[in-house]
Amino acid sequence: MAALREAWVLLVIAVGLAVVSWAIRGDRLPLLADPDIYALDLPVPLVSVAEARELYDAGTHYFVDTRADGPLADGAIPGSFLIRETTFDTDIDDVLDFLYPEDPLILYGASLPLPVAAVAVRLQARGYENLVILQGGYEAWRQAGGPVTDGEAGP
Amino acid sequence: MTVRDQLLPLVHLVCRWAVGAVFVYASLDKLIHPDAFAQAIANYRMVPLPLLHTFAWLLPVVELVAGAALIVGWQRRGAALLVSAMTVMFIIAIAAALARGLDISCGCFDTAGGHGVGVDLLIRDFFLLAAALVPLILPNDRWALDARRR
Repeated sequence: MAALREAWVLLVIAVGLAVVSWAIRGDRLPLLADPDIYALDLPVPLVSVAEARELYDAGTHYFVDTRADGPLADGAIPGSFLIRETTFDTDIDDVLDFLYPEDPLILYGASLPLPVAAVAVRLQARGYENLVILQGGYEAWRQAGGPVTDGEAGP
Repeated sequence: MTVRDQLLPLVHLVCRWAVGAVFVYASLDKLIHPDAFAQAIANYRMVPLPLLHTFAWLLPVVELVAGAALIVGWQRRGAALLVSAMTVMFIIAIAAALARGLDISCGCFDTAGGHGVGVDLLIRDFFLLAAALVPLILPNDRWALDARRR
């Protein structure tokens, strides 16, 4: 019983410290996680914004905008190719001369990874295997200060 | 005083410090990278997704507080109870991941990749559990802060 009482004392202290640290930290996460961000049944891995930014700066990967509105609404990551689920066949035909199946691609949507996964599956069916999805999508990229453009996405 | 009487406090002290140090060290990277730790927890597919952030925020603080309490010997039985409970939880999580064939990283000490889950981790955690139970079961620890207070 003494051990249990002591454990409760330590737990209360830990919860107090956790609350204080959560309140004062600038990079705190929301208390309730968005389940879609952590959805695990994606056909391809997720890549964080920080990692994607490094790859962008290194110029080793191509970015693919999968948003239904593309860059029209609020810009895009510069140099993105436009491949959307709803117009997949025509979009892929437009970029076939620029994107080869062995090219490493970073797919992004507005914010959630699941809508992007549909495009990833169709790209995989066309032989593209080196795919990752940008975690948090375009919104996370923009909020992190990543470069954006108001122009139409394209090569 | 028998040899046993002389050795037991030493065993107690070593176990307390070792387990405490392991838990304090394990908490550090998780505290620095809560987002990566949340993803590591999500990979186990055991915690409801909306609770990931709360869990990822709270667990390392409990590890830190319990580990530090074990090291200094304050509320040591409670601390031993907490670290034992957490270790049992880790054993269950790793065993469940192995049973389901999940190829994931442990997330134990390093949230950026780290050691993959495997039987070796299970064995390690059973040793950790055995060491964590020592301060809970053995009554005497002359070097603990609790002992000086009483």
